[in-house]
Amino acid sequence: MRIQQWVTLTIGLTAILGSQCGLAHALSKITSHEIAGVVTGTNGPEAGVWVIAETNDFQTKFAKVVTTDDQGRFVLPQMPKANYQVWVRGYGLIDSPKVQTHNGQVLNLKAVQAPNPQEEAKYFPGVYWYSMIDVPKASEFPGTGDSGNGIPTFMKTQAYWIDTMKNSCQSCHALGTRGIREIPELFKSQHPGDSFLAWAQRTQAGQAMGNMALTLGRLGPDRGLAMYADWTDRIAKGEVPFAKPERPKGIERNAVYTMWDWSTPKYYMHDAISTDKRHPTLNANGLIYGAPEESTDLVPTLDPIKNIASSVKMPFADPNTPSSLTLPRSTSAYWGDEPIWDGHDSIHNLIWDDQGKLWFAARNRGENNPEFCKQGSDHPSAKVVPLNSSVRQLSVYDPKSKEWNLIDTCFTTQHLYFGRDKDNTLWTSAGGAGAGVVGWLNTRMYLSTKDAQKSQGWTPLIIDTNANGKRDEYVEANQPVDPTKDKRVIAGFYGVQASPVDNAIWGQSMDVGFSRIDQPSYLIRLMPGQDPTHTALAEIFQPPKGAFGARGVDIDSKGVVWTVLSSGHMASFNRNLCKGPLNGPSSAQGTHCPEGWTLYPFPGPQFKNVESTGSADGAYYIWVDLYNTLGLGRDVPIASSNGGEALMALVNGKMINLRIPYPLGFFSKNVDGRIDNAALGWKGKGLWTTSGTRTNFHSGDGGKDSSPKVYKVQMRPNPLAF
Amino acid sequence: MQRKLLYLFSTALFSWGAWAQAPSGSALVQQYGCLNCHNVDQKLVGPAYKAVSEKYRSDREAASIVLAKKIKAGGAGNWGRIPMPPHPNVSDDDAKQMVTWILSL
Repeated sequence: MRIQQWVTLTIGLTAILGSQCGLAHALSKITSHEIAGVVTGTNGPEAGVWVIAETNDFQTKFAKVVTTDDQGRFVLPQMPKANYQVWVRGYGLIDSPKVQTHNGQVLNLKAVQAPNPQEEAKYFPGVYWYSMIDVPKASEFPGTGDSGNGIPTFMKTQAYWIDTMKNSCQSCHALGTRGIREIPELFKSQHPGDSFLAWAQRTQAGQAMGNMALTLGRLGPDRGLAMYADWTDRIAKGEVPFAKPERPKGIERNAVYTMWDWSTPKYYMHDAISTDKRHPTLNANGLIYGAPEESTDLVPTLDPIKNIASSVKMPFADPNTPSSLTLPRSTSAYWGDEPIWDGHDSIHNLIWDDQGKLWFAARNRGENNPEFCKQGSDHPSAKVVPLNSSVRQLSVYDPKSKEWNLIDTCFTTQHLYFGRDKDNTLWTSAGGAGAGVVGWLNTRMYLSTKDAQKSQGWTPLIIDTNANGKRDEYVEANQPVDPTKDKRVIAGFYGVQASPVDNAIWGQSMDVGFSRIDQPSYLIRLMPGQDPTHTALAEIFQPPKGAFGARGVDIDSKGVVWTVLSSGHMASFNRNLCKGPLNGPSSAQGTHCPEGWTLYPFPGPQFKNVESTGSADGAYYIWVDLYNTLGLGRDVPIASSNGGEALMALVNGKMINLRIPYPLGFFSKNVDGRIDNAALGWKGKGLWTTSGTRTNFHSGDGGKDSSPKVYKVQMRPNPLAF
Repeated sequence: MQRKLLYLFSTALFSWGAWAQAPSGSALVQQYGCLNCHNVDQKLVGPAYKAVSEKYRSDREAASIVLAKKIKAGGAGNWGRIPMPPHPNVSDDDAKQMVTWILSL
């Protein structure tokens, strides 16, 4: 039978391909390292559908996904020897029956047409579902409060609302996934026929209840819950998305997605890291490490060569360091009354240095800062801005010696990236826009002295409003501009990145939906100067009119800054295009260089009530591929598209949609790229990321059995390359 | 008289010592995450604490018992449709202390 299939396939392919006989020839040469075949449906070959192969033969679950070419052909490359289940998934289809197979086989897979729109839409990315949400019309803002339209008066524009939905709700959840667009039976049974109360109950479930309450408080709880309840009611009645996604096309079909389980279904990840962004060959073929944020102190690891997942326990310094175990919670539809998180370290983000050490934004004590941070200290930075508390500090791990060092910082850490200076300065973000300072660690000094106090510093964000080119006396943020002085801005880095072209450190401050303060988002350029505590000067840049909600930042090799916007755009900012002065009184608001921005709408529908060039999609972060680790070229910006369940790469101004279709609800918060062996071309490199949703059990592909995943993304020269 | 004064002084000293060691009601509402849903002045998901204090101004003694129980058991209906979830991990003493503080506003 196999031989018969093989002959049939080969003859068929030869007949079909004609001018592409080279590819057919390649297909006929598959080895024990590949699985290949063709997918056909009722109307012939199925182009642009996914073929998924999965195995439980290794220590951890392994799966690979490729896309069929225009003749329905596929090759799953670089398949470790195992028994696999293989099936077809695609728009217009439902999952085909799973076929048992193993390496070296050529398969003839039958696609199954979706019997109705509801079944078809189950595979759409979340943005298609949540664009159905009836967002309050622009005319309803500013809100008129409890006695009016239920929207709080501090919700001044529709953009505030959208930024809250995206940068608060969607920060943690893959909105639109099945587990969110459908209300669990537990809550329906508690409140039969009353989806408002069912939503009230579900937003109190689990240990993130506090975060969700804060967000509801911002939306206006009655109006917010009513909006979500109306959305899920309509879906329960059979309403389906008003727009349909397109199947992958062009080079989107060249992608290869490989994935492994790591950690456990009770935990979730924030980020994964494979190498040093500045030196992408570091840690070649080595372990991938993850950051489990609030869920656990166990840092997950993956050996992608041996397919082994494991973990390393991060310590904390103070035995009274708070744990997520004690967070208030109500009954979960998935976990009942069991508290599933027990994380003290709050491990948010991690990064490799050039010596192979891993640095973490992680908590190692309670919030109260040591005395050297506070008023009266002789620490140079504390003399400028004393800091009484920080919610997360730093830690460093040496994989060779297995040694941890916990570093007490006065400033809060969130993201972290290395500078390109002789001190190997680790620049950090604080997360919240209200932080008011930017902190750093001189890692060369720290590693040689272990003196955390001396090795750290921080600076307020001071704008050169008196335009004399240097930092001097300043007015505070709540004081009017004084033309004889500089001016402080109370903002904070969320994203952070050192420029590869000059000494600037770029950051980005969050908009109102995340920060919960009435202030727009900014890109921030910080020039540290000789003594950053006293010399650093900042420039701030608001997104142009019609765009809002910057999140994440990276910089290409030409110095162009990239971010993603909750208005539904990827955006670049080129400071060299600014026409007016970059300092002086007119620079205090950050509205002085709209000409520096270029907006690129994300694919997918917009909310019906929203008039904007962007889409309903929201992206968590952005990363620029400086070394072509993916294969789409140098300097390609790649957004973590949470609504698109994809990585969105911008190539020559065109968005390349790398949707990862399995498991449903792909939700990344960042990527990085590593070159394991440059001589192997596309086979020797790729991007790495992890599932960043806090609720893997909402996916729709499985429930409580769904572990977080590690993903590797590679681009082949064509869909059949191996 | 001297013994009475000494008693009063030592009682006051003891009370102050206990107060200094125990978290205040305002610290407890922060510790237990109550401020995610409540604010002193403003309605969020739950009512403003000052509104709660005002509502029960006429009978604080009875209110303190009812509200402490409500913190632990949860409740719904007095302040709109959204229920307050139960907080079984809050001790009786802490619940009383938080209510005392809320009713003092």
